[in-house]
Amino acid sequence: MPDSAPTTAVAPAQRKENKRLAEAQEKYGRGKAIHTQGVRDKKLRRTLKAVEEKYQDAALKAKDAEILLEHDAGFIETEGELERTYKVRQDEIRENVGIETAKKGFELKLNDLGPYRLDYTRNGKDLLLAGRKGHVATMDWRAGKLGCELQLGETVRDAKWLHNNQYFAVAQKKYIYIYDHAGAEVHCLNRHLEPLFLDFLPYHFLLVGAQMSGHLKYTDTSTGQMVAELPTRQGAPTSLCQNPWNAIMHVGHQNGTVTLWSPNSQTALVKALVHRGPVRSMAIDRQGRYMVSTGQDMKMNVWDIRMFREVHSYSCYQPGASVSISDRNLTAVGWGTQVSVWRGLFDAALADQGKVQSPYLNWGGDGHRMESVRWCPFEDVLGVTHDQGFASILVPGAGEPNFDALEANPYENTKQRQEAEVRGLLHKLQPDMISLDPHFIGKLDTIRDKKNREEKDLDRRPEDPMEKLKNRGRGRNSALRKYLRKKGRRNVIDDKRIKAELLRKEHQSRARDRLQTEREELGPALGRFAKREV
Amino acid sequence: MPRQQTQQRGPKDNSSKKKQQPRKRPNKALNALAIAEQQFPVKPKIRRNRLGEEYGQHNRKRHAAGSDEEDSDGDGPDNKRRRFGGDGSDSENAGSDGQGRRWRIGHVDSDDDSELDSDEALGESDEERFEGFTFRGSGKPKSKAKPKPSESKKKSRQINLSEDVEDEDEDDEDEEEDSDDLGEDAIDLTTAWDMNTAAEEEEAQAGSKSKNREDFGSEEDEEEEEGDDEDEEDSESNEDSDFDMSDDEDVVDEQGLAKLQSFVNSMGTGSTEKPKKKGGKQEHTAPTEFGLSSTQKLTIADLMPSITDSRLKNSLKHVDTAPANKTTSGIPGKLDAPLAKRQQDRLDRAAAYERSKETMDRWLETVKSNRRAEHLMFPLVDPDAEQTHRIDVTKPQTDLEHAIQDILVESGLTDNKGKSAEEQVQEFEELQARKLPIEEIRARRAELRQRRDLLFREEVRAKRIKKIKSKSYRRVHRKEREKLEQQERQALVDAGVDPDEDDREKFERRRAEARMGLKHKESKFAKSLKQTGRTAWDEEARLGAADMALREEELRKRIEGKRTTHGDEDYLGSSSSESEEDNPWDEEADSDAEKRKLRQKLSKLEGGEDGELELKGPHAKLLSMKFMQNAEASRKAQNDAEVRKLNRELHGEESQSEAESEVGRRKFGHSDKKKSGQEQKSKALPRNEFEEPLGSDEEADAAEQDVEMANDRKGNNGKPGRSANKPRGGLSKAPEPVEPPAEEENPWLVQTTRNNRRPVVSDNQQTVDINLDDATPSGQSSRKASKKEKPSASTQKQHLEPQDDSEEESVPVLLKNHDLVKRAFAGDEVVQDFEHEKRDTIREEDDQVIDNTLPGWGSWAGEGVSKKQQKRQKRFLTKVDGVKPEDRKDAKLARVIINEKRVKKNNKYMATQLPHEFESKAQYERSLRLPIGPEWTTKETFQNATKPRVMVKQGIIKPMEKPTV
Repeated sequence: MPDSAPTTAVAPAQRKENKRLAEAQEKYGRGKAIHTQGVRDKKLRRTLKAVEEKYQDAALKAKDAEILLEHDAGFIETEGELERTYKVRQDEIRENVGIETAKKGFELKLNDLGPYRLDYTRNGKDLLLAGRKGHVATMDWRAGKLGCELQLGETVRDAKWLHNNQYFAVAQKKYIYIYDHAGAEVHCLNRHLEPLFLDFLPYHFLLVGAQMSGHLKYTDTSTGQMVAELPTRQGAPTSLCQNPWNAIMHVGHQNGTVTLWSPNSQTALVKALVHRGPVRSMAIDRQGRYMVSTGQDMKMNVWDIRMFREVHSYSCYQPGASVSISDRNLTAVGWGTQVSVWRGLFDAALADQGKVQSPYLNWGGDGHRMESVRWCPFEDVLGVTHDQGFASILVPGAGEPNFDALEANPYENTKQRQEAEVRGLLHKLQPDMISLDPHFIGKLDTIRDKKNREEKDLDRRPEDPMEKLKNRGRGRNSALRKYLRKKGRRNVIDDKRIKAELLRKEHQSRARDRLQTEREELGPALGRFAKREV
Repeated sequence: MPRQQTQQRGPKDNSSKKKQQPRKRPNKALNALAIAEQQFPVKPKIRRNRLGEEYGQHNRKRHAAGSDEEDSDGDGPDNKRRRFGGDGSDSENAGSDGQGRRWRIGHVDSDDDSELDSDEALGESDEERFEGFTFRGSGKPKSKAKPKPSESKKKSRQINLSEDVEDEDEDDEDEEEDSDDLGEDAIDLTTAWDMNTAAEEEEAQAGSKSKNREDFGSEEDEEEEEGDDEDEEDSESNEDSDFDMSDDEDVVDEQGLAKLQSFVNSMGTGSTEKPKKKGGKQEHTAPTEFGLSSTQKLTIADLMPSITDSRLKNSLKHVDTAPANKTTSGIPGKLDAPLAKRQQDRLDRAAAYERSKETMDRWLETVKSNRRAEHLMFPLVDPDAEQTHRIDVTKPQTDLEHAIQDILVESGLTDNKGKSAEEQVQEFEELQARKLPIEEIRARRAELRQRRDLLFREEVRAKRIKKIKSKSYRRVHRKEREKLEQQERQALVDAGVDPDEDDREKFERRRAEARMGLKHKESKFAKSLKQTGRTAWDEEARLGAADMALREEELRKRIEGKRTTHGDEDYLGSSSSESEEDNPWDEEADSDAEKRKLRQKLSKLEGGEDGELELKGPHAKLLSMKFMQNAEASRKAQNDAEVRKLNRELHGEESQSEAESEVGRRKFGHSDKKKSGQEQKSKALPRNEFEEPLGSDEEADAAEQDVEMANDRKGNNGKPGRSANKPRGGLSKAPEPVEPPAEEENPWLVQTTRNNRRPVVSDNQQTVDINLDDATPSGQSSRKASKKEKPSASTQKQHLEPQDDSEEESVPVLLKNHDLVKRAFAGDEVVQDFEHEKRDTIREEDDQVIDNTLPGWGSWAGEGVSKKQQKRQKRFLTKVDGVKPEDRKDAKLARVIINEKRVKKNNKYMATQLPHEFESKAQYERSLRLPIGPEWTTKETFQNATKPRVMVKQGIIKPMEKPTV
């Protein structure tokens, strides 16, 4: 049915242009334009207009630059109603993709050294595997080349790459150690005692360790300084993850709460009760909008962490051991011996629809208990570790197809890597810049602004004390009555008191009037019950 | 009466010819009043005088003999009196002599009037002037001042009436007047007669005139117009003077010279005010018309007042103004002495400054634009310089290009040199232009530009016209289109094809809204009803109105009803999005609770059916007969359909897949009725058995719920049957997952259609929400899990399991899990702890009252201080402002505590005050919205953003060219 209300006739070219603009604004726009009409100052109006124009232009240019994104994203599509994507097996996928892609799906059998943890570098090139029993290995997984292999001979709880593939940190039994690409121990961070989980904030060069004691410690890896030690006061944390959008750390606790931390505050910024039992794992999407957490209570909860409200709660058959969210918002959950990949969890949440009914892909069920799942950046690959080793499985549509080489270059050479390192250090963000709202920088501090303004304004009026009395409280303990009771009895009749008494009279007369009207309304019989205000 | 009317009309007609429209009305209104008040004595009439209605008295005065008829003829005479107010003053006096008492009264009245008028209406200066008159005239002139108007009016009326009524008038007065009329020749005589009379007259005229003018400013025009009837007026005025003579003989002679002097004085003031008028008055004495004394020249301006025709007047307006502007140009006298040098220099400087300013102003625009420019690149780009650098025609190089070139040449699009026709023309023009002088080229260009401009303007206009035109055009077409569409739809409906549900709904909704809109409410019918009030007596109309109201109500309901269902949907649809409001752990309070309740109801409904069957159990023989079963099954199917429909309605919308599933269901549903019937029975039995113990159980409620869900589960999940039919291998690499919830069946259908799970992808998706997601991860694991869980499952479930088929084992696993989980975590009072913590935090961050009291400060402390004394001690409390519980960010989030403390370390990255230029925070922050770095924008944007404001190219930079204009 065509629109019944005809819009104004616009030339097709114009319409096209408008459409393009609208699209660009939606995707690359920077929020609502400010209203310049009401601005009185001419010059300001002009500058604001210029700013808006610039933004518009930037959005359009960004839209135009989309032409450079040569790769498309796509998912497995079913052909008929009866087909289900989650029935597609890995070998089927491998058969149907290109050889090079098929090579990316592989398994490593590492039977002895116990459940493994894994981590990919930011560009997805290198893989770090750390077995519980002290086996640490790095590899260029695409080439299948082993970088280094360490037998540490003590418990390894977690391992993490630092800003590039040259260094990695390992949370060992007592301390955190940093090794270089060749496996040589570079540093021992002995202030991190009994670390359980590690995370690294790439833009701030901060290594975060969650300790058995419940402390969260931030170490600046560029300077080696300890930036912050935050006591969570909730016992040993059960999980740790970062919000890539604002560099806030989320710590899961035994009692089902998740606390949000920045190195700038000794107390948690937010504390949310997400699960009933211990929080097993959390993951946050790239845009920092949703958090998916799994708990021992066999739930998988989707939270909107902008509003801090739960959006959906899914039940699992077994507690999810590990969650990870890919660049294109596929959510992998490892639970029991299985991994399921969910698609469109956030779209459903966004559209306020019901829950997603079925997963996108399934894998596992071979009797290996899943330890952790991680998405490989820029690849349709999910790395899964379990107690028997590591598996790289293909999940079509998971990775971001177009990479930004300024950000993370999967194909970088040594030179580029070095330059990126220097650039990264030059652009390093200070730990103080971490906040729940990362846009706060440069914004107006309203409190100080107000104070400043008040100081500057020499002929401001002193606050009228009567104003305060006027409208605060009613009844027996209204501010006015209180004032008269406490201070009005004195035999000093000054301006203030006269005013107060006037005010009181006014109040009384008003009350009387009200009573009168109420009586009239109620009629002669019921009038006597009209309640008199004190 | 009729006569009165004629009389009225007579004068009125005359006046209306001369008058403008608006005059009539008030008079008419007053006229009615006058008639009414005629019965009352003089007083009210005097009052009326104030309003400017004096005719009643005059009539009486005039027709002393008692012609009452004229009382009511108000309008015309009234006006006239006013008009001629100045002229007849003296004759009035004469009249008073003749008629005695009544005239006096009239005088007094009018005198009162004059006072009142002057008080109220006159400006101060006028008043003064007027006072002068009154004093001078001692008693009489005072009285004279007013009566004149009435007299004059009377006279004029007489003249007017003379055509109609003259014969009837036999009063003395009339006769006198008649004689006056006759004595027109006597004008000269009168003027010559006595200067005093003229003076007196003058005074009176001036006074009354001015007064009249003030009172009835608009009437001035009429007065002037009146001047048209020159003959009459002249005669009148002459008559007046006649009367004056007689008057003056009696009274005024004594005053003599003094009066003359005062007159001259007054003339001085009067003349400044209204020279024209004065002239007019003097004219009465002078022989010439238009109030000019013989010494003065007659100008058009003098003639102006006598023009009645407004058009003529308009046309003469400029003539009127021109002479005023005309000033006598002085004869150039001697040359002035030159100014002092200093003065001269100053003037020169001023002039020079003006000049230089002008030249500098030429730069203004340039400077402005350069200042406003975001970037300046030196050397500046010359705007006039030709921007287009034409690329040279490329020579064909390859064979293909040659071939193309040949073809082009052949077809005449280019010549051999590779130039297109257009280029050639341009070239030619350029050549021509080179020969022409530059002025001509410039002129040509200007002309061209002008033409283009014109063309453009026309284009714009055409566009506007088109727009206007197209509006109505489109409206018409839209209506047509809508009509067509409706017809089509109707046709579809007639043909038996149901339009799309959504479409229909949308359409209906829109229609309802439209009908609710003003258009229908203010339809012709409704309006007519409202206007005529027909509903009061017309039964039909009333019915119609009621019907309308009813329909409106219905429509509103429809709209609202729609909305409410939508709301429900939302609530149901978004499952647990609302969860922070309710207790998250409470099964009841789960967001799915609502849905479940509904489902429970429905399931109960079904349970009831089953119960019926059960009751009939005793006559199972009968029931087991085939036809009975058939009938039962069909009835069941019907009911199922009904329930399904209900379900669907519950969920409002019906998705496409559901619709499809419906089709499938229909196909299969009837085929296996028997089976279903049987199975139903067999099913019903165990369940009921199993329900009974539950009822007796302590945890009746919870258990019941569980069971209910278990049943649903059983029904919903396609798994059980499937797994029974084809048991799957437990441990395959890529395990075949369970049938997804999407394929789950309608719980209501399970009994009837046992085997066809596939087609019955029904609408239960929403209803089974809780379990669905659980089911999804994988069937296998669930099975495994169920097996694992079995031993630990509760007694009820154990109870349940043996009776269920093996298929059903896997079904309630999740529920069991839930239950287990619930039980497992029952000990941790996580929620309570959290709530407690939140409360504490709120209290902590709320306003704090700190007791700064120092014991012993200002009073006694320590042992032995009585309680009373302790109480009496002054307390020093300070209040520290915190965050009020209701202002907290987490005020509405039950499961979240948000820290309200400011993070001080962040402050150093914030602006301490609003930077200059910005008026508000929003403006400032908006200006920071786009990051400049290359990571966030395209290269071009980045470069633009970081480009320096002034860029200077190396080399010689010529100064800016002087602006030409």
